Amino acid sequence: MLNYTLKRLLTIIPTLFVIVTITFFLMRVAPGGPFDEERPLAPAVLENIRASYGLDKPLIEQYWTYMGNLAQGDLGPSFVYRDKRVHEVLGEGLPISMTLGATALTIALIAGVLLGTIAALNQNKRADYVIVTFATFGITIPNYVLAPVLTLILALSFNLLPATGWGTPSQMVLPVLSLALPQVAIITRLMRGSMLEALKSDHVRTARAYGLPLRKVVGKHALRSAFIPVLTYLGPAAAALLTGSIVVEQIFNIPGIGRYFVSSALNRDYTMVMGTVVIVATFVMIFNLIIDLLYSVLDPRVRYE
Amino acid sequence: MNSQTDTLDLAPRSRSLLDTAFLRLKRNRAAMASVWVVIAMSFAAIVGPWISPHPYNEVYNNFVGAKPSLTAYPKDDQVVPIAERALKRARVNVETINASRDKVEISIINRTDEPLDPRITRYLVRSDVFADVEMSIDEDDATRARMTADVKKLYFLMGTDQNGRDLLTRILISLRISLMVAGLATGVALLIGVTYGSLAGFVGGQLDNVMMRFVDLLYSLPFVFFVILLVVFFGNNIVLIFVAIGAIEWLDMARIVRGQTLQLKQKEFVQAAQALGVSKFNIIKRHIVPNIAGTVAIYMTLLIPKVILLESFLSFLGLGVQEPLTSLGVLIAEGARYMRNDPYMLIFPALTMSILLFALNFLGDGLRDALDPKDR
Repeated sequence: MLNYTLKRLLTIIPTLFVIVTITFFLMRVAPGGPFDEERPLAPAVLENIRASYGLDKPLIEQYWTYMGNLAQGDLGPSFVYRDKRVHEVLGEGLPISMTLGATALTIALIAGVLLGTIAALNQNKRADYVIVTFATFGITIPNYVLAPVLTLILALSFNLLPATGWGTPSQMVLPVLSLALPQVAIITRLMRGSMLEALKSDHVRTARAYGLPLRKVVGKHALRSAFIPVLTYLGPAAAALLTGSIVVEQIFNIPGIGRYFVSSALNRDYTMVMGTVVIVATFVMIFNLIIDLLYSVLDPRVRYE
Repeated sequence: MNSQTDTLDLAPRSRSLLDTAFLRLKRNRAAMASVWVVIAMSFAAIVGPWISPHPYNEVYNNFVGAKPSLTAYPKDDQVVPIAERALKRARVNVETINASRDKVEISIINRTDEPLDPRITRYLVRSDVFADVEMSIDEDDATRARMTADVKKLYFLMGTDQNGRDLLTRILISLRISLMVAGLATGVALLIGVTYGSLAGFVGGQLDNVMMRFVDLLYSLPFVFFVILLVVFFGNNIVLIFVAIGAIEWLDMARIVRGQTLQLKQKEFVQAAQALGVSKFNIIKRHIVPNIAGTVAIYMTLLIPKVILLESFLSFLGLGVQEPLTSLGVLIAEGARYMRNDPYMLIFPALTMSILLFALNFLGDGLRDALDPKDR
């Protein structure tokens, strides 16, 4: 298990290397530069600025310089936020985005597992129909529709919650809700399907035959095997939350890192783009590793040598 | 006629897989309703912008943010202010305005002592509310005149947007864009995915290994980021954006096709073709691709809503189609900005988008159930 973890952690490095390389050259080949402004700078000034950032050197040399710095954990200076370094800018937003994403994921997991189990236990009864209908709605409606509609209803019509901002718990409700609801729907549907299957399996029937109470059978024996498809989905769920947070942070005016996704690419803020890619890719890969490790906890047949 | 052909004709026709699938689809009410919704929406998207009385980019300055209404604009109390506003720039004093339902009578007097210029009727014509403007200058006093004009009837069933453009027409044109994107991007994804997957699956060995590791690598990338990079890279060219979306969405398709090809490769008819010396390319073209068509078709119907979502997402961020063209994502983003005072600007596009996505999802699910040979 330890060996496996180390091996997986080591494979992150070459993957990151490839990702960074692709992004680096893709960004550089794209037309435009970070110092393009509506009123163009004087050529001499532009030359000086470019030279001070090392942009006048051959592309390959810049690439190796960047890689060298990256290996030492330095993401370089931002081209657009002039007197800041990339890790400072991202460091401010990252905790906020992480809080938003983690809260949404936790809520999605708890609500999804709960609703899915309730639906499965009441298969083809009213509770099941209500939950399945809700799940279908949730899967279909994307968060950039959900977020403004929720704001319109809860914040503007009934004045229950603040419409924008970040910091107080009441300001967290709407963003977290709009981010989590589609995921709740998907997890509910997955959970319902796998729970139905688990309830039919031999070990659950045996447990019932021994006279164990239903709550214990479901909570301990069925849940464990029914949770595996949900675990598999957590990887894509994290990616979906990432995408969703770009939109949600924009709608609710939240100072996370989501906004840098779009703005830095549009401004050709090379180092900033690379920084967000590195952070997000590392995060996604570590998250996937944790999920893979959790398999062996849930399913004793899965062993990592 | 000999009797043998008669008996042959009477023999019951065996049901093909497709017939069964169609029967099963017909029995699925949600899916059938979705079929009609999708057909109706596609029809509206194609024909709607043509038959709509308003061009999608026509700006009605007098009706910025007009509320949705089943009755015609201008409302009774709007005619007089609109006429006054139009004539303000003509530098004449308005003495009386009589407005009825579809006619307006205005008597004016020039601010200076000079005779009135008949060309000032243009100020009324330009205000896009009045038509057939006539002006009769008083014979005794050339500084006085009477103007008559027809009041146009403009219908804004879903209101107008923040620039005074008819929202219904804009929704129709955005529907057209969304469906076009879906078609084009799905086509690109299909082409790359099927070619890539069938090649990897059929050739196998080292090539398969390398090709599929490449797919795995792309999977681990922050996918949205690459779409954004591609869009930045290609600039705001609408066709290239569709291609970029397609170029990103082919990964699942390639995996599915590869899996199917691996199974098909073991089948006798493929081995027979190989034994007969048919080239690899021809085997893929004649034997592999037709046999995976069913699976690919199902996957395609599920891909279409995904592509529409992605396009709207990009448009929402301002990376998609550009003004004056529009898409559902742009309309929703704009609606969200103005929802405080004009919630209808958000509600109508959001509703259209939801209905379209619902129908496509139900249809995709229905097709998948209908075509699944295991689940009779």
